[in-house]
Amino acid sequence: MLVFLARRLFASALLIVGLLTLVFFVVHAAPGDPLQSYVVAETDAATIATLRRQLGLDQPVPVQYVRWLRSFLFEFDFGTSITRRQDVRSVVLEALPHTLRLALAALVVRLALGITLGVLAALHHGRRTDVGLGLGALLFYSIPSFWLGLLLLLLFSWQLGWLPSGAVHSLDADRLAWHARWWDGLQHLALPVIVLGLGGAASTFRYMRAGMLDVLSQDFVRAAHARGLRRRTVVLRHALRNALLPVVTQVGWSIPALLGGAVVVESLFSWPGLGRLTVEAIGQRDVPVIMATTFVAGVTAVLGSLFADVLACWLDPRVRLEA
Amino acid sequence: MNALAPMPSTPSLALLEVEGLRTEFPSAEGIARVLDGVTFTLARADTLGLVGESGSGKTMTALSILGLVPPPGKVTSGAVRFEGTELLKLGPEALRRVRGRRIALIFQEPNGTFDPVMQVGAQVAELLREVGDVETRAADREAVDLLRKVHLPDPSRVARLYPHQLSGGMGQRVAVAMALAGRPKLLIADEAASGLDLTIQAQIRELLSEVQSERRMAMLWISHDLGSVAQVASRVAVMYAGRIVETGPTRRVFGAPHHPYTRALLRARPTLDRRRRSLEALAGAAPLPTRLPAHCPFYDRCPAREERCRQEDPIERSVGPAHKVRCLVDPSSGAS
Amino acid sequence: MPSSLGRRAAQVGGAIVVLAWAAALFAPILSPYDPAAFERMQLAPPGSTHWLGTDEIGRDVLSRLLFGARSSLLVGWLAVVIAISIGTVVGLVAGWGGGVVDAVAMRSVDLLLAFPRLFLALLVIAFWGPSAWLVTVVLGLTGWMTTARLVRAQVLALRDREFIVAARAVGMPVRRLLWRHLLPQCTGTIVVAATLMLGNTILAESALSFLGLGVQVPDASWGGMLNEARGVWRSAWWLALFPGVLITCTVIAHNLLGDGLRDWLDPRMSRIESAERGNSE
Repeated sequence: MLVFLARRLFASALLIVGLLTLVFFVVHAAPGDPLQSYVVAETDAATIATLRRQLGLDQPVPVQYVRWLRSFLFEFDFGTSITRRQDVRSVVLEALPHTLRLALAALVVRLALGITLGVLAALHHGRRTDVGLGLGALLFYSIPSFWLGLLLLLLFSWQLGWLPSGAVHSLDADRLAWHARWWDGLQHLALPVIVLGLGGAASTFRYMRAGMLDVLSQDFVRAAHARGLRRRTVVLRHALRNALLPVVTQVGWSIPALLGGAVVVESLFSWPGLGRLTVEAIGQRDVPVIMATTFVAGVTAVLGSLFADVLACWLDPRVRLEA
Repeated sequence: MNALAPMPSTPSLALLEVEGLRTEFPSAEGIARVLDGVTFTLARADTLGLVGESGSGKTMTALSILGLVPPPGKVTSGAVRFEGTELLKLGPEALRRVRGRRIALIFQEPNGTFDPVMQVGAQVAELLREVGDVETRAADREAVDLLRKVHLPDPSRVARLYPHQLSGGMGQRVAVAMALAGRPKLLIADEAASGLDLTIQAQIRELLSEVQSERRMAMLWISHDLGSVAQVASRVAVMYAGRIVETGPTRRVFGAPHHPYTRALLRARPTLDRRRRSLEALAGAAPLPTRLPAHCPFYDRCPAREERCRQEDPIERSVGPAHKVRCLVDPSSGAS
Repeated sequence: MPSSLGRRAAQVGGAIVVLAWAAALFAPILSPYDPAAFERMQLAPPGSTHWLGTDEIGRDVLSRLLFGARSSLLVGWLAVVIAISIGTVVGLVAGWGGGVVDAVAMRSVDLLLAFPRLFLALLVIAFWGPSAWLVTVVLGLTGWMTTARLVRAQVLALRDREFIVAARAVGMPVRRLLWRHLLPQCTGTIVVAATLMLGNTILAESALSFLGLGVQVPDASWGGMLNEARGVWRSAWWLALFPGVLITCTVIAHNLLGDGLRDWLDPRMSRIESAERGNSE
């Protein structure tokens, strides 16, 4: 187990360096001068030259790469935001928790729905419940998240007025008592989480159903029945626990997609997270922010997958006791 | 140690009576009749061997008795009476209560029959709680006791192992422990010692006979290995193409077989006898369960067949005390 | 799904895909109006002159939807073609070459899979400027990984088969071996991987267009139409409804087709595996 952990940590570290390299490569391979976004048209040549030197853009590319790598990884210095005039690190750190909260809540929704419904479908394999759930999953798997969000907004926010249409808190949230503020936060979280979670739930559902059907046909399940155990015990204690193992791994590997989905949801619901920040920064041509947000998103994904992998390994005694 | 099994006890109240058991599977090529009228009885604390080649229906017999035939297969006719109760008419919950508590089943590959992510001790304890009606707190302790009873060394350590950490022999002992959890009256051992090392095989057989005599348990010993059957079973039933073709005391059936198939089986065993140089294999193959003939299914391969064998399906007839055969031919008259 | 229902579903899916392509290809003929032409009838609800209404500039929704089909389908399918081309080549080379080549290829796969696809697309778009072509290329460049893994697995499995060993013994050049002998064996897997990818790719394109970073105005795209209508959703329900319905139906159709093809061409692929292949939300 420890060997596995060490190996995965090392691989993740390599991945992070790889991410940085990829980001650097994309930025520098792009046509045009990265300096363009920093300067206004009327700036004179001397100022431009100074700026270039300041930003280190006059150095050869490999040198730039090393310098940049060092400042990102060891000093956590992401530079200064062009539009906001504050250092990028604080901008990103402000946005990150919102994305994390959204993503984690969506993950919970996705697991809760996907696992329970997947098991249900597997137990009623071939019958109407299974077919119905399968069709529902197909629908939520295929529907664009921004459209689903729009429809839910139309219904719950604008028609019924039950839920707010965006942002993390109401404007006057500071003046509320703590429990009211908590409830307010929850109301704002509800729609984005549902939208982000439902699509993922559909894919987890498929996976869980497939895994459960596989496990139910294995020898030890039939043997458990033959030994006289109750059906509930066999299904919930034995079959389910075995079927959950690959689901954990699969969920881990879909964390990158979850973060990607957050981009759209954040834009739709004005959720001040990493995704919306990135889209805004693209509009404002704020190069340092774009580089930082994509990098941080990548790192989050890597760490998330790592965590899920380790968890899956720990849960399976066959792997855990290997090393 | 024990060369041949003892003579059968006097026919007391039969523990298990199987009559005309028929199990069918729908398939693309038609209905596959895997069991074609299986009939035998088993007395209390007695051991019956069930032999036959692969595909003859031995495992399906065990599954049919316990209502474990995998869908789309079904038991289509016949009767199975256990301690007077007609098993085939029981509802699913009542049938579940028979499994483990009154009839237990052990399989060929033991380690594949355990939950891979749960310690074996916990699995035994779980059975003790659910099937053995043991109190929750006492179950773990009793699980270790049960593991000790099946002669596993250092049982408390073994209890904490996972199935993949067990050797084949250890696993089979654990399986026996699990089978005993519900204190059943009948143990069905389906190729329980096959696939293990020979020494381990012998140990498992010994363990089972020890447990059997201690608990006065009957055993249905299913095997394709005639030698193990001879060691363990006082009576034997020979299966072919889904039916019992000969049944009787082991000594008599193996010593003086009546049915040509039984004879062929015995002849085909490798032996150190100098007089025979080559293995005698039986030509041909058993008929497909989808194409069972209306006459004797062994006709095509039978060295002793006669014209009438192609016209009628033989029914059981007695050829000695407790010795029955399903064959039209009398071996003393025709060629063998 | 029980197989008869599954087969019917796949046929329905295939039919809808064909319909969508027909609409896309014949858009100029089918459209009642020029999709970019704006008239005085702004925000008109569905009626007799404009069957599906007009948007806030006065453009006919139906015409824009038809041309939008072009964007979605062209970008989606082309991106998938790029992805499977790259993936097949990488998979063949990695599986056959082994050693360092294989290691480098697989590490690249791991790296790209670790990055959220949409963020990577945003990164590229940020520095190259948004356009439909860029989106196509980026989606292709970020979608080849699963195909590469699948093809590589096939190659590894087939390497030691007799007909390959025999061909090598005869001295057949590697390129010919890969192209004429190994590749045909992989077509089933590749087709399945491709169709399962189509749905997600179309969704990705529509998401990017929704963010304004995909197909650019004035070209029509379904995602873009939903974005353009953001300000007037509440009053103009038709602008919010139809593009979304079309995206959903198109993606459902592609997914059904993909599932059906998978069952037909590669039934050995377990359900778990195929759920995995299609998953990249």
